[in-house]
Order: sequence, then C-alpha cells, then structure tokens
Amino acid sequence: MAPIRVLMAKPGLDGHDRGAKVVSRALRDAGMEVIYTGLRQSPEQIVLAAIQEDVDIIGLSCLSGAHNSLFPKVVDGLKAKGAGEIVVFGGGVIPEADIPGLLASGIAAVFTPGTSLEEIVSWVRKRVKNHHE
Amino acid sequence: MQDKQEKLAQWQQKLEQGKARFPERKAEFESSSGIPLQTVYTPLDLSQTDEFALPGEFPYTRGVQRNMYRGRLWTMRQYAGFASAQESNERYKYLLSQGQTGLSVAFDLPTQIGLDSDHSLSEGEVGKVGVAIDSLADMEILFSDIPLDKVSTSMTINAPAIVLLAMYLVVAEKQGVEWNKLKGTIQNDILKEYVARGTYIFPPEPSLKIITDIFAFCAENVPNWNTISISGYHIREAGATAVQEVAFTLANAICYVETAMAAGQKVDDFAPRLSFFFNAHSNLFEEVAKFRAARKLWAEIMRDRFGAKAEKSLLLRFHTQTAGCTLTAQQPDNNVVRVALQALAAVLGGTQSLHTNSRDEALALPSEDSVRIALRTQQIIAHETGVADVVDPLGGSYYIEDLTNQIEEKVKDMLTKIDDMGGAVAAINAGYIQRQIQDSAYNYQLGVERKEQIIVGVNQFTVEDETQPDLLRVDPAVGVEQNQRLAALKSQRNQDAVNSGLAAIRTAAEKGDNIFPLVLDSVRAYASLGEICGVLREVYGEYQGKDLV
Amino acid sequence: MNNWQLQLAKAITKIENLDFQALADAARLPLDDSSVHIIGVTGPPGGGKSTLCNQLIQGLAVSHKVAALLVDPSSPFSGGAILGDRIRMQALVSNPNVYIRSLSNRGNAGGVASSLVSILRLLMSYGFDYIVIETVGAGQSEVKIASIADTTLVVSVPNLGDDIQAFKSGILEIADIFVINKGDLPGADSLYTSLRESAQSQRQGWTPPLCQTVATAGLGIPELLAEIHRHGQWLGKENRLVEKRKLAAKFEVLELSRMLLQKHLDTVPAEVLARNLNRKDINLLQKLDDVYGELLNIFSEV
Ligand SMILES: Nc1nc2c(ncn2[C@@H]2O[C@H](COP(=O)(O)OP(=O)(O)OP(=O)(O)O)[C@@H](O)[C@H]2O)c(=O)[nH]1
Ligand SMILES: [Mg+2]
Repeated sequence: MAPIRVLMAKPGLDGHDRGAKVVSRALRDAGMEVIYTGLRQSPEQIVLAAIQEDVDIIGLSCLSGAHNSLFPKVVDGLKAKGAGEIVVFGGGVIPEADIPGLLASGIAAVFTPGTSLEEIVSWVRKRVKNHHE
Repeated sequence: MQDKQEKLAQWQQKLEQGKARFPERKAEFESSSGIPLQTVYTPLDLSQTDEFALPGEFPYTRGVQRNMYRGRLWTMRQYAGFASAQESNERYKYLLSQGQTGLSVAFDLPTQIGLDSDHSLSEGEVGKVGVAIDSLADMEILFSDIPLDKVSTSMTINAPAIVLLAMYLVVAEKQGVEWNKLKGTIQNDILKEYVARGTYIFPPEPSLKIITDIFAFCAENVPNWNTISISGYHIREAGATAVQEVAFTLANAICYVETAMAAGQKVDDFAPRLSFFFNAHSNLFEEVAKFRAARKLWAEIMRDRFGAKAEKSLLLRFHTQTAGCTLTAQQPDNNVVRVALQALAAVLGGTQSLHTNSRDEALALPSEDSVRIALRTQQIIAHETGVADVVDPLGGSYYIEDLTNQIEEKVKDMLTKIDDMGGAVAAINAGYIQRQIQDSAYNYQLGVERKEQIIVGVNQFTVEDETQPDLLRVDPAVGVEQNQRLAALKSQRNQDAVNSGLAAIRTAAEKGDNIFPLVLDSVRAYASLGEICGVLREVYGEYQGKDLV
Repeated sequence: MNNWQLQLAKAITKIENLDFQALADAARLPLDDSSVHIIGVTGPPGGGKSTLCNQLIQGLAVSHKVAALLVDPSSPFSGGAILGDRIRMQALVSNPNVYIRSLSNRGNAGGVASSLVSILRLLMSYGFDYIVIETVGAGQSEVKIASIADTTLVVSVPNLGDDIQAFKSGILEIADIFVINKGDLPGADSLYTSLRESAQSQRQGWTPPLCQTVATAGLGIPELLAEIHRHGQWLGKENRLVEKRKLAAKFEVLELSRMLLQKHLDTVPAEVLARNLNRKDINLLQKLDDVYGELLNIFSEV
C-alpha cells in the first residue's frame, strides 16, 4: 500500500512548533511519510514544496493569529499551479468564529487546541482515501 | 533511627496488605518529570547532609531574601501589548490604574524578528501577538504619559533586543529621566530561541557577541537594568519537563557567563544583573521544589564554577508566568482555577515577579475582563490567603525537601552531559536539546491520548456544544496604518543622518566593536528596526533553523 | 509553469510505490546519458550532508538544471517517516532550476530507496544536468550509493571519536572525494592528516582528493565543485562512465526483482499461506529435496 504523503508547514513568523512536531510524529507513527519544512515559510514556498513532493495533503500550523491571511493563500496558490486537488488542513490558536471563513476558502478542516492526535490521524486517513477514490 | 525504620517497615507491610484488597488508582505514581513518588514521606527522607538552611543565606534554597514577601510583595506584572503603540499605551495605563506594579511589553512577530511592518513576510502578522514597533516614533507613543522613572518595564525581546532597549533609553532621555533611574528587564536570551521559541535572527556566535555588548554597555550606563532574563518558560512550553526546564535554562545561563567572561568582563560586574524566567505548571509540589532546586544550583554554580564573590551574583532572581500550554480552549473558565494554582506554586516557590495568564489565552489575545481576573488572582493570593506572610512555608516538608534534592541531582546529571558535549551551543548545534524537548512533548501527548494524563474538559468531564466567549480581535487595518506611518516617517526624517548612522553600525559590527552606542545614534535619527537589523543581517548572516522532528 | 514539476513529482511517486506500469515506462528510458552527472553524498548522521547539498545545489543551479533526491530512513515500527532534509534547503524551493524530492528508504538497509535508479532514468529524461542524492546517514551499509552515483562524496566530520576508526568498514573505499565538513570545529586538521595518510590510496587511476568545507558558511564549496568536475571529466574518459552506469543498472535489476517479489509475496493472503503450510504433501520437517519447488508451492494460490 502506498503511504500517505503529508507536508507539515508553519506559515508566517510564529516559532511555536510544538504542535506541528507532535502531529508530524503522530502521522509518522501512523505509517505516513511526513515532510517537515521548518519555520517561517511563505505560502508560495509551501505550495512549491508540496508540488515537488507530490503530497496528498498539507497541514498548516499557526499560533500567531495570522491564519486568516495565510491559510487561504496556500489553497489559492495550489489552484493557480494546477495542484488544487491537494487537501489542506489547518490547526493552531484559531477562534471558532474564523473557522467558517477558512472552510469556505477551501481549508478542508481546522483543528483547534485539545484535538486528539487520533482524531487528526483518522481524519487524514479518511480524507485522503476518499480523495484517491 | 532504628526505631523509626522499624515503625515505617511495619506500616509499609500493613499498607501492602491494604493494597492487596483495595488496589490504588495507578500501579505507579510519579511526578511530571518522571520522579517516582512514595506513598508518604517521613523524616527518614530528609537528606542527612541537610544543613540548618535559612532564607537569604547560601545556598538560597529557601529564598533570595531573609524576609521575602513580608517586606515587599512580588511584582505583579502582566504581559500585554497588541495592535498599535497607541492601543497598547492605553492598555498599560489601564493596568497601572488597576494596581499593577510593572509593565511587560509584548511585541508582534515582525518586531521580534527585526522586520519592519512593511516587509513582505510581515503580512498578516502586524500587531497580532504584540505591539508593532518600527522606529523610535512608535516607542515614544508606547510610553507616552508613563514616567519611566516610576515603572519597571520588562520587554520580551530577544534577537533585536539591543535596538528596542536603545529606543527605550532614548525615550527616557526625551522624558528627562536619567538612565541610572531606569528599572526593568530585556529578555535578550537568544539560546532558548534556537531550541524553543523560534524568533532568532543571527547565528549563535554574533548573537552572543551582541548580548555581551549589551552587558558591557549597561554595566556602565544603565546599572539597574536586568540585561537578560534567562528563560526556561518557553523551553517548558515547548514540551520540556520541570527537570529539563531547569537544566536547559542553567546550561544556557552558564554559556552566557562564560561568553561574557571570555570577553574580559569580571563575573561580579555583570552577574548581579542576570535574571531568570520560569514557568509555573499545575503539579504544585514539583513546581515549588523546582524553584527551590534552581536557586540552590545557581548559587553553587556561580560560587564554585565561576568564583563569584558578590552575594548578588549568587542569587537566582526570577520572573514566573503561569503555563500557557495548560490552558484549554474547552470550558475556558476552568483556566481561572488552573492559573490560581500555578500562581500559588510560584509564590510558594519564592518568585520575584509574576504574570498570571488570562483564561481565554488558548483562544485568542486576552480580553480586558480576563486580564483583570488574572490580576485579581494574584491579589487574592497576596492579600487573602496568608501564604505571603511566612518565608518558604513549605520548607521542611519531608516531601518538598526530598523532591528538591531529587530535582537537583537530575539537573546536575543533565548539566554534566551538556558540558561533556561542549556546552549549550554545541548541544543545540547537535540538536540534542531540541530532541529532548520534542521527545517529552510527544510522550506527554501520548499520555493524554491514553488518558494516563487527564485534562479536565478535554479528555474527560467534557460538555457538549460549548459556545466561545467574546474574543479580542486585532483590527486588520493595524497593518495598513502602521505601513502608512512608517512611510510618512521615512519621508520626514533626515535621511543623511540615517545613512551615516547605519554605515557606522556596519563598520563597528565588521570590526567587532561594541555596537550599542552606534545603535543608539541610529535610533535617535529614526532609523527603523528593519533597517538596523538589515545591516546586521548583512554583516552577521542569518541563522538557519535546526528544526528536527 | 510548474506543470512539468507536477508531472515529474507524480511519476516519481508511482515508481516509488512500485507501480508496475510506471517501472516499465521508466525502464524504457536510457541510463547512459553522459551529459548528466550523478553525485552521491553520504556520511554520518548530522554530518552536514543536507547543508552541504544545499550549497552544492546553489552553486550548480546558477547555470544548470539540478534535481536533488534526499533519502531519509523509515520508522521500523510504523513504516512511516519524517523527511527533514528539506529544512536545510529552504532557499532553493523557489529556484526554477531546481527540483527537490524527499524519499523514504522504505526499510531498505542500503541507505537509499530500491527504486532509486528507475527514478534516475526518469530525471534524466527531464533534462537535468546534475542529480544530487543524499543518502540516509546510517554509517555502515551505505556502500550502495557507490553503485548508483557517478561521483560519491564521503562526508566526515571531526571529533566523531577515534577519527579513522569512526569510519565503518567499506565506507572509505567507496569515496571518490573525501569531504571534511565542519572545518570550523577543532579537530578538523588532525582528521585531514589522518585521512591523507591512511585513506587516500589510488583506485583504478583515481586518487580521491580531500576537500575541507564549512557547509554552514559556504567555505570550500568552489574547490569541492571543481573536484566534482574533475572527477566527472575523468569518468568521461576510457568508457569509465558507461561502466559506472552498468553498475547502477545491475543494482536496479537486483533491487527491483527483490522488491517486486516481496510485493508479490505480500499479496498472498494469510489464509492461503496457512492452508498451504498445512497441506499433507508438504512436510517441512523432512529433508527438502527441492527447496524452491516447495517454496513455490507454499506461496502459490491453489
Ligand atoms: N559547525 C558546523 N556545523 C555544521 C556545518 N555543516 C552543517 N552543520 C550543522 O550540523 C547539523 C546537521 O546538519 P545537516 O545538514 O542536517 O546534516 P545531515 O548529515 O544532513 O543530517 P542527517 O540527514 O540527519 O543525517 C546542523 O545543525 C548544521 O547546521 C559546518 O560546516 N560547521
Ligand atoms: Mg540530511
């Protein structure tokens, strides 16, 4: 079986990567291949890396409050480069009120603090499977 | 002695019999750092060598002063700052009017990374996690109508600390306040940025050079300023255990002392101005023991390893913040209780100043109501509980003393290991510290998943359909306005003065001279933060993250 | 504009997943293109391979198209992997001359992925001038890279213990170029001396040169690039490159047959295996005359 390929990225300037790293490990331990790109990535860099790596899905983590301007840029950038089928999900300190807007902009799911790793892992599995079918 | 041991043995036998019939909640109990816990502690656990320890005396396990809070309470210092300098200034004045006794400035991420608000990477980040400062002009507004000789100000700024401190000094100058009247702290702790917080700019070597420049300049010109706040806080937030928090913080501290001494400074000249910053988590007794152990370890390190003679050099004075990572987005009012218990640990542990988190910080920036409750929590502890009336009230508790010793031993082992690797910078370069922190973070999370670690409202005692409280939002227009202000400033200032100021910084940086006086000159000429850091970036290069997973 | 990258990336994934059609397609692409230079980089974990690759690629990409394959180990427990080499190459992502791809070794002990050579064929067809391969920093069983790359760089760093002792057997012999990285750390000079004394012996007319670098600061990179070119030119003579590529093709055939067989075996349902093992006509306790025959019996669906 082909492993799911995930790009975990931290857009923006925020340096709190505890969540991104813990989730990366959990996805690895669930058998996925996780490409971690490090801090301070622009949406454009994230899009290019995702294309080169042929990932199924991108996880974005942001704790600084810049999610509304950064997350949708990744989705738009993927579409513009013909890679719109790559699923994008997000996490971090994100107020509930922002979630509908993010979903409408094409973010497939938003995980807020307290979400269990198991929930994220099984969501990714299901989402990528559906999408491969 | 014999007698006591026998008695204890008998008691344990009965205990085991009882357990056979009624098993305990868990097979093994341990502290959050993995220290195994006994059912009960007795005088037999007090270490044999324990001297008759008193607060205010070496090794200061029981506190850095003889009478601690009976003299003066700890400084209640709430970290705040958001959006524009104008709005933050209003929040500061509000907090001071509510009885807060010190300011604590939060800067936005572009400022912390030495970028101006109009830099492309700043998009979406301006004014988000703190106030946006591009130049002296913003700093003047930030502290307008706040007499700088009357407050003590703590600034959470690291990589570009030299520029922000210079701005503060120039604001004081303009207010007519002499620099020797200024009190406060810059965080200025770059090493933990590499391992935990991520707002670095330059590689370790030039970063340490800038820090030593600040030490030297302030020792001479700003004698009451705390030139560094060596921070375990963020290391803990990144996932470290209590023991790792102390060990990695002290390892970083040792590196700063060694660097300054290697640059020819005398230990007793700068060491009295070193301060620390720790995290207060919910495991109450372990936290109290952690603070006690840290004080003792530092006093011994300074005296025995660095030959410090001045008493002030031996004192580990610290600020504490309650643990942001323990706050839950679910049932956020519960956070008030968590914060109260964590704050209690800090006070029982003898902190010099304290920030209590607001209940809604896991959701967004704290609202004014939440900030007030957080401050009130400190005031209740200070004035209603009586815990501030006796120094080190838990001292002598068999359990606390034993835990203090155990933490001390474990920290010493880790410090030896880091020394063997060649010190903190080598350990960071090898990724050792990062990996340790990440392992702890992941193990903790797995414990939560397995419900070995219960988080009320998250993996147990949950409620359906929560509604979120009203949250503070930063107006996205802040970024636009900030850019306009910066453009206006750039068109009005004397560009020749800026150019020659920046050129002078470049020359000094290239030659390895102390850059502080030249940064001051450029700041006076309204050179922007991004321009000054830009020159330094060109000379020093930029640090490439050593992230690993 | 990134269309070719999209296409290429997807084709690599198929090969990696041992998609039969993709492998067959790749097999039709030539491996003997002498205008492409394949550079392998191996060495101890944390030795600075990725940082060094970043510098090399930056240098090469000024005037050439460069592809990089970065191999990291998979987790023996889950089969998953965290692929982190890219972090050291953040600045290259938007360089239009560069394509970077992270690969898991998918449990392959050789420090590279089994399908690597098929991926190389594919990359050649995309017109890259250079292909840089970073192997797993496992130390020991990395010799496989030498069968694949035209030029193998063996990275070493000071203070890994008893200098030369720190090299596991076999690794010294595969070096076409020795790179002493972290030249800024104490001990670099003594490592240089001991390598020159004991490791630098001529092999088939090529004496592996020693290059000292500080990858984090970009020091020694032009010199290293010059040696890489010199080795490339040396290979171009007397049919040497063709021989190298034959070695790679041999590796490919062996690895792929092993993997495809494994893949096939993995598809035999457990019930079938159990049933076959219990069949009367297979007696595992007796002397086996026709061991292959028996094995085929066990694994075939009847
Ligand atoms: N002092 C020094 N450090 C270096 C040098 N080159 C790389 N490093 C550091 O060494 C560490 C490891 O570098 P990487 O490039 O990730 O090493 P690697 O060999 O690719 O590591 P793995 O892929 O994990 O095996 C990083 O912290 C680099 O910054 C150098 O020349 N001098
Ligand atoms: Mg690497």
